[in-house]
Formats: sequence, structure tokens, C-alpha cells
Amino acid sequence: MAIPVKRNRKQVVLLLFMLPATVFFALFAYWPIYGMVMAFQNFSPALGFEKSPWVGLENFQHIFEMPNFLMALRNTLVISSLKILISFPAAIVFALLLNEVTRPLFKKSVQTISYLPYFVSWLIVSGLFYKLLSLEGPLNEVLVSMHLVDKPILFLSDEGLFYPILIFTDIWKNIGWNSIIYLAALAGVDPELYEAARVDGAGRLRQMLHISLPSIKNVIILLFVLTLTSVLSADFDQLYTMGNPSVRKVGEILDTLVLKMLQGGTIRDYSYGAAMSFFKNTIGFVLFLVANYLLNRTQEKGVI
Amino acid sequence: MRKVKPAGWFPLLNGLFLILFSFLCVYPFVYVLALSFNEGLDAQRGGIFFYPRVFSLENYVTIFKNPDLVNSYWITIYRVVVGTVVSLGLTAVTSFALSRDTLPFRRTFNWIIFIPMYFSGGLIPYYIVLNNLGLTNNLLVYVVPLLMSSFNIILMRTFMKSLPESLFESARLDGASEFQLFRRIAFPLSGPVLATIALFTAVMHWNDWYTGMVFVFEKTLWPASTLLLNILRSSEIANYVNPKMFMGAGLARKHVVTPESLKMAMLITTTAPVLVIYPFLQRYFVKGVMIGSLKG
Amino acid sequence: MLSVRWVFVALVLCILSPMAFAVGQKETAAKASGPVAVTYTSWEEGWEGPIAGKDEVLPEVNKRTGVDVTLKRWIVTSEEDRKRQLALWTSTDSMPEWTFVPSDPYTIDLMNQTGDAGKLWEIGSFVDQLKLDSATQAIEKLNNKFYSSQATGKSYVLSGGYWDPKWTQEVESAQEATLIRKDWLDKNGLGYPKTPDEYYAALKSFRDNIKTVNGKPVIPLVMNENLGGAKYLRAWFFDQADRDGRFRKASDGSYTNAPQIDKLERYVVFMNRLYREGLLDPEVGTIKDAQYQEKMTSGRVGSTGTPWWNMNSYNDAVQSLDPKALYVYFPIPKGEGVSKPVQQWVAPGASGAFVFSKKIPREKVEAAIKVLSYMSSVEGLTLALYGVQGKHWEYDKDKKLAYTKDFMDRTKGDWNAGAQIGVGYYSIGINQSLINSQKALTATDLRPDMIQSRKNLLGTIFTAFEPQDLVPPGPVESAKSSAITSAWNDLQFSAILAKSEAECRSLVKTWPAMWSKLGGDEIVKEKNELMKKAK
Repeated sequence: MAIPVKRNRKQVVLLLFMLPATVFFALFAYWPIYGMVMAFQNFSPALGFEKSPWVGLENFQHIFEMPNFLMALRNTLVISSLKILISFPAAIVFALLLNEVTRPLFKKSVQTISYLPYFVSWLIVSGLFYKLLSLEGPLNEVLVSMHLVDKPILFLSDEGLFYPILIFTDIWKNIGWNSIIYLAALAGVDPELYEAARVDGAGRLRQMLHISLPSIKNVIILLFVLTLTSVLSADFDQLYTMGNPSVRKVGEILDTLVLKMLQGGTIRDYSYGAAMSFFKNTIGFVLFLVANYLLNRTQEKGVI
Repeated sequence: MRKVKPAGWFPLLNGLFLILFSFLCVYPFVYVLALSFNEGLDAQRGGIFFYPRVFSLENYVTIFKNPDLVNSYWITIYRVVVGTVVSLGLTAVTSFALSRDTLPFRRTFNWIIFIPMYFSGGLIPYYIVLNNLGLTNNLLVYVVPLLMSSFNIILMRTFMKSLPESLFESARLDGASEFQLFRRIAFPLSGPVLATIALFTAVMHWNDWYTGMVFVFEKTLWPASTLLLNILRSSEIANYVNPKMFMGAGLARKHVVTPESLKMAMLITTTAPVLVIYPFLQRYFVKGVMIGSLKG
Repeated sequence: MLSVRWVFVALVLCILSPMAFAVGQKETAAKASGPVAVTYTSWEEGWEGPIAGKDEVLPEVNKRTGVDVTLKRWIVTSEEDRKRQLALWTSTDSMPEWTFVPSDPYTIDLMNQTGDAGKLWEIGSFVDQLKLDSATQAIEKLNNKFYSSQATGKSYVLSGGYWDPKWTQEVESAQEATLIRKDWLDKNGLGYPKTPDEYYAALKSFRDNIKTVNGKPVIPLVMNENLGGAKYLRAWFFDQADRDGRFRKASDGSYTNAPQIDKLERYVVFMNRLYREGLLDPEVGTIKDAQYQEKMTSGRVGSTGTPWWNMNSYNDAVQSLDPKALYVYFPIPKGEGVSKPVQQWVAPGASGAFVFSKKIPREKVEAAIKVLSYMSSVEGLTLALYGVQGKHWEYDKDKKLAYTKDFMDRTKGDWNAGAQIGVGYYSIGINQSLINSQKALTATDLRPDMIQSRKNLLGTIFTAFEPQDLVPPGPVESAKSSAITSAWNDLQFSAILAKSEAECRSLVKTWPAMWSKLGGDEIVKEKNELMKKAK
């Protein structure tokens, strides 16, 4: 595959720039990649990759045959889709709104406060949430004392409420942190563009829609594609801690199912885990290829 | 030009919404803070939402009396500083090269960087590689294998690509080399994304407990995050392990630390420093700061 | 300010600095002469260990055995962490010299595979070198058989800390069962419930007669997350021979198909009734551990299933509000058709095991065995459990072992503080009952809840050492059992929370089909085959 490369000084310098990354990925990303064969083996650490017996697609068969696999798959897809439709744009909107704030102190404090929840683990968030919404918790107390209901409501076992709770808590927890990238992108927009638009009579909203938003289009597309391709991984930490047996039918995702069904404390767990990862990653990669191709055709500028 | 004060409902509504949102964000911290200063057994009875009922410093004492803690913080600081700076430098250089159309094999490089985002061999071969490179049980393991992340590279590349080509061309006409294009134009103008990635990387290093737990055997080589998790999990297991010798019935301390209350104190301990540092990075997120400084 | 020059300077400095820090693992050079040196790596999961330089027991052990043992503490933060570390050690062929590992099926399986691959010493021949009394020797040999590799029959694991049937039955009996408020039973003029129906009546009386505590309603029965503690009530409905109700033994001792639907049905219908009538906490499906603790410490709960150390702390918490409150374990009620219910089944096995890497020479293994022999003797065990006579313990006036005042002052009754100087840390549990029968009663032993509970539960631990029980899980069972357990738990959950008795019963009837679908028949077949081979 000899492409005639001009002995161009510029290009040699650029190639040198790429050297650290190439070495790094060769060592830490590609050297270990042979481990993916574990998905097709009955792997044992004692035997290693060379000696562990091959089982073909047996691991995958076991995964797909798990009872509730389809239910978990459906739940995962629904939850991820909801997050893409709601949580994803929310971060953008939040960044745009925050960008419009003029008082620097107010803007800084709101921004800092907004990503406080990111640092609180789901374990604690779910604990707090369960306390607030339990039968004897503050919310029920208020409702009963104000005679809005006769007896306390079991919010947490209501399947219909579960998805709204998930989305609400997801937005609240991640919106600040997720908006950081967009804010950084917005910071790079030439203020003269805003000036020009204002002179032309455009109000704040129009400026936002026609200048701010398009300027960060590339970043949005990048993050959208990446989020889309991880559609099979609804946030495990959130679902594991916020879920409970009563809402299992809507709250069981692939990762929590794997935890229950395949983590039997046996050596086979490694192979099953590897097969599940292989499955998720391959689907994600295929999705990416499709998205990238479409972008290249329509926008002339895909991710790659 | 006279500045016309922006009038109308928009900023008011915006402000109101953000204030309400801020309260929702701050509240869990108030809750955690209150619990962290509350005595463990009393906290178990519930009902604490805004302030401690039985004040106790015992949760924090349990954390800070650990003899390995100070040492572990030094290790954490080391990895945050070294890890972030080196990673930032290498990522910037790589992303710049990737953003230039004149890079040979550009598409190949893009794929090489991108594929590991999806495919990886798993822990065991990764451990074998690190072991072969002599990085296990070694302080370098906190920095070297974490130097580059596909996501950061691609993100920065996207930013750098959006820099106006005219700047590069005019500099090229003045006879600038690629390296000078990087040094004088691309790098200085990438303030916001550099700050973003610096923030992400620093926070990652600060919070990462996994590396220490898996790749480092000696407790004295653990960073604070790993050590703190160890303390927490030990207290949780201690509830279930049955020391069959002698139990402290009647010998209980006045203030008891439960795993729950310890968890709260730990959260405050790990988060507070991050919140203190962030405001210093904030100036990079102000509208138009970079272009403005260059043009002016 | 954002000058690239300064960044490069910083970069260079940063790359150079770690060199100063980088620490490698150096193997200690073997001594040319003198006592044999061997490194003992001991697994620690949540308990403390000797602080370097402060160990007061190991130097004494070394002195008395003439072996130079160095301790390396392997600190583990969770089960997952532990399994992962073992996998990483075995996959890079870097198992430590002499390791103390847990004896769960995963670890034993992994050690056997590692041994079969030639990386661990075969233990069989060394057992005879262990100087144990005949009864202990017999148990050790039994365990070796139990833990031997299913592929080759060889054994690589030397068990330590195993169940002593007599000790378990007589003293350890207050382990885990169902608690009940004794003072509330007394108030209602009731004795301990002897059948599930009497239990139902007791719960009802709690709700109807006690009614409220501190203004908040009484909750007769409470469970932890994911029906935690339900298994203790389930035990009332299955007989001694039934194990945990998933497999069933035919009269000839072989395993048969079809789990016990009739008994399962009785169990879930009973629980479902409690749930529908509000005697079982309505939040049982959504409760998390923090809320469970809240309820238990509030003094409003009538009954729950939990291990004994929780009983101690709940009593302490509730008695601070109401000094007369008392939770105790009560004798296990007999469900319909049950002649001998059990609290717990204890089979052969150990709580930990020793393995030796093939990389060390034979003399080091023999030195380790010498140490283990000493630690199993009365003298060695006393040293391990109680420390040095005069320094840490003395004989009291009844000729029982009691800790010295100095030791108690130093450690304040905390086992972990003792372990930090080595006391209690090195006990490997062989022959422990002998020593424990010599020890003076501790504060825990003298608690009223412990005394009553032990009396009530005496003899309810079923220890199984028959040959057909020497069958650890085979590969098919290992692969399929977690799915079956999960489905089994889900079924119980749905049935207990069913909206009507009819729905509850119909759910139970779906179990045999689910059992077969998940491979239950294959597991039974494999178990019977393995049993024939074991005989």
C-alpha cells in the first residue's frame, strides 16, 4: 500500500506529533485486544488464553436464552432512548441559557452549583430519594396532612412513575457536568458575531438560535453520535441503586440482569461478561459506522 | 458605543429558573453534610434532613486518623498534577496533528484512535501487558497507562478544526513551521477545550480508585481514593464478619461510626477540594475570551 | 501565560519526577543458612491485621517453631476485588509463596485448575506431616477429598478453619434465625410460636394490642432489601432432609427432579397472607437497607430475620428507648408435614485454605506445614487466639482463659485492635472447639439476648458429613445455578407480593417448568453421577 509521500518537512513534523499517541495505543489498547477471544472460550485464568477451551457461540447462546433477556433489552433501549431524547438536549439548553447570563458572579456560582450533584454517588442519591418518597417520608406526610390523599402512596413501587423518576434524577445529576463541554464551545464564539446580529435587530433568542447553536454544531454532533452508540448501556449505577424488585419489569436492564443471572461466583463469569461486552460493543460500533456514513453523506463531515 | 441595558422578561425568567435549579442541586450536599456531622447510630433512626441532631466529629476522625492517609494524598496530588499536565500536553499535540488536513494517513490515524473506544480485551490481558511493562505495583501505573484517552483526543480535534483557517494561512505566509502554528496559534486559542480536558482529567485522577485497587498491592502506594474506599468497605464488612473472640458489649464508644455515616463524611472529603479548585478554571469558560484577547 | 515553552518545561520535569518515585517489587534474597524463610500472604476482607513492626504474636511463633515466617497482608475490599486478584495472580503465574485464601467454590475451583496446570504443590502427601489428633486428622482428610480437583482427583488445598460439628451444634447455635419481641409476647400472654399459625396470631396481637410505639404504628414483620431475611422463615416449611428446597432427595439418598412444590406453596401462601393483611411491611418490595435500619432501631418492629450480631445492636438501640424491650431468637416453628426443621445446614468445608506455589522449594512447604502443625496444637492455638501468656492473657480463678487488664486497656475490647498486634489474627481454626471450651465467658456471652437465643436454638444446626454430601458443584451446576437461583428468588418475590391467594398459587405452579427450562434436570443428573463417583 505504498502511497507516495512527499518528503515534506511539514508532514514529517506532523507525523512526529502523532508518535506518542501511536506508541501509547499500540501498547495499551491494541496489545491487550487479543483478550476479546474470551467471549468465545470457557476461559480460566489458570489456563490462560492459549489453553482455555473454545466454546464457539455458547456464551452468547446462554446470554440470549436468559429468561427476561428480551424484557431487559427492551427496557435498556427504552431508557436509553428517553435519555437521548430528553437528557441530551437538556444539557445543551442549559449551556445556552447559562451562556446568556451576564452577571459574572451569578453565572459562576450557578455553574459551580450545577455540577455538585455529579459528585454525589447514585448510592447516596437513591438513599435520599427513597427516604423522601417512602410511605412515612416527608412527601407522603405533606400529602396526607393536606388531605390530598387518604393514605400514603407507594410511589416507589409504581411502574408508571419509574421512568419519569429516572429521567428526572438523571438530568438533575448530570446536566451540569454534561454542559461543561458545550459551555467551552460557546466560549470560543467570536463576540463580534453577536454584535453584528444585534445591530441587525436580532433579539436574544434569535441570537441564541442562529449564532450560538450553529457554532457548537460539531460538538453536538460528536457527542450525539457517541451517546447514540452506547444505547445498550443505560447507566448501571443508576438502575441498580434506584431500582427495586417491585419495578423489576420496567427497571431491569441488560447490565443488572447479567449481574443476577451470570455472576454466579464461578469462573465462567469471565466468559459470560466478555461475551456481553462483545455483544454491546459490536452493536455500538455498527451503529457508529452507520451514523458516520450518513453524516459523511449528508453533512460532508462525519466524525471520521 | 453605548451599551444598551438588556430589558425584558427573558433574563428575569432565566434567573428565576436557575435559582430554583441551584437549590435542587445544593440540597443533597446539605443533606450529606448534615449526616456527616451526625453520630452514626442516631442517624440510623432517620429524620435528619437539614442539620445534624447529635453532633459528632467521629466520622471524620475515623477517616483522618488513618496513618496511611497523608501519604495517600501526596500520591493523589502527584497523579493529578503530573497526570493532567503530561496528558494535556500529549493530547494537544496529537489533536493538533489530527486536525491538519496535511497529515499523511490521517484517516488511518483517526480509526486507530477511535476503535479502542469500542473494543478492548478486558482486564486480564491489560493486566498482563502492564505486568510485562513493569508497571504493576509501581507509582507510574497511575500516570502512564492513563495518558491518552480517545474521547479527549477527538474532542480536542473537533475544537481545533473549528479554528479559522485564515489564521493559519496568514501565519504560513509569514513562513511559520507546523510546530510554530501549533505553538503560537492552535494551542493558545484552545483555552476553553484545554481547560475542559484539564478539568475532566484532573477529576478523573482525583476520583479514580480502581487503578490502585487492581494494579497496586502495597497499601502504601495507594492514592487517597483507593484508601478511602478501603476504609469504607472494611467498615461495611466489619458489620458482617463475626469476630468470635470478644465483643465490645458495654465497651462501646460514646460515638459510633456506621458505614452509612462514614460514607457521608467520605463524600464531603473527596468532593470539597474539587469544588475549591474549579473556580480557578472558570475564566476559560467566559464568552469570547480567547478570540477577543488575540484580536485585541 | 499560556506559553507553550513553559508547558514543555513542565512536561519534561513531570516525566522525570516519577523516576524518583517508581518503586518496584523486590523479592527478598534467599538466606544461605539459618532458619527457613517463607512468606505468608494472608487474605484480609474487612478485618484488621498486624501493623508492621508491632506484631507480638508472629515473632513468638517463629521462635517456637524455628521457622522464619514473614507476613504479607493481602487487603481485599470486596468479594469482587478478591476474585479478581486471584484471577490476575493465576493468569500471570505469580501466586505468592504461601497464601491463605477463602474457600468459596470459585476460589477452590480456580486453585484446582491452577494446580492441575502444574503451578501449585499437591497437598495430599503433606497432610500426614500435619501432627493432628485423630479426629481432626479425619476432618482434614475429608475436606481434602471435598476440595479435590474434579478433573484429576488431586488436591492442592489444605483447609483451615473448618466447621467442627460438635462446636457448631452446641455453641455456635445462635447464628441466624427469626427474631421476635419477647416482651410483647409476654404482654399478650403468648409463648413462643410453635407453628406458623401461632406466629401469625402473635403478629396479629402485636398490631392489634400493642398498636403504636411513640405515636407511630407497629410493623409486625419487616424484611430487608430484596426480601432479605425471608430465608429464615422459609426454613420452617422444609424438613431437615430437604436442604434449601430446590433439590429433593429420594429415599435412597439420590437427588431427584422437581423441587418441592407443595412445601414451597405452603410457604409463599403463608407469607402472601401476611402481606395482604398488612402484617408484613407494605414497603417490603421497595425498602432499602437504610430504611430497614431505621425501622429496626425505632422499636416498632415485632419480628425480623437477621444474623446474631445485628440482634445485639438492635437490642442496644431499642433498649435505649425502652429498657424492657428484648429481641430474641425463638425455637424454630414446625410447618405442616415437617418433623425436624433446621436453622442452617453445615456441610464439610472450611472457612479458608492454604495453597503453596510450585515455585518455592519443597523445604519451604515443609517448613510451613511445621508451622501449621504447631498452630493446630493446643499450645499454638492458644497463642494464635489469645496471645502470649502473662502478656495478653492469664488463667482466671476458674482456670479459664481470660484477657489481662493491660490487654483490655490497650484494645478496649475491640477484636481489630487486638489483630493489629497479632492477637487473634493467626488463628486457623483447626481444633478450635477445644480451646474455646477453655475460655472464660465474654461480655457477649453474658448478654440476656444471647443466653436466651442459644437456649432456644440449641441443636437446630444440621451438620452433614455423609458420603453423598461430599459432592461439590460440577461444571454444569456452576454454569447454570445462578440463573436458577435468580429465577427462584424472583418467583418467591412475585408470589409473596401477589394480589390474591389464587394468583400466588398459580405462580408457584409455574416453577417446575421454569426449573426444567433453566437446566435443573441436567444439574440433578450431574449431581447423581458425581455422587456415584464419590462413593
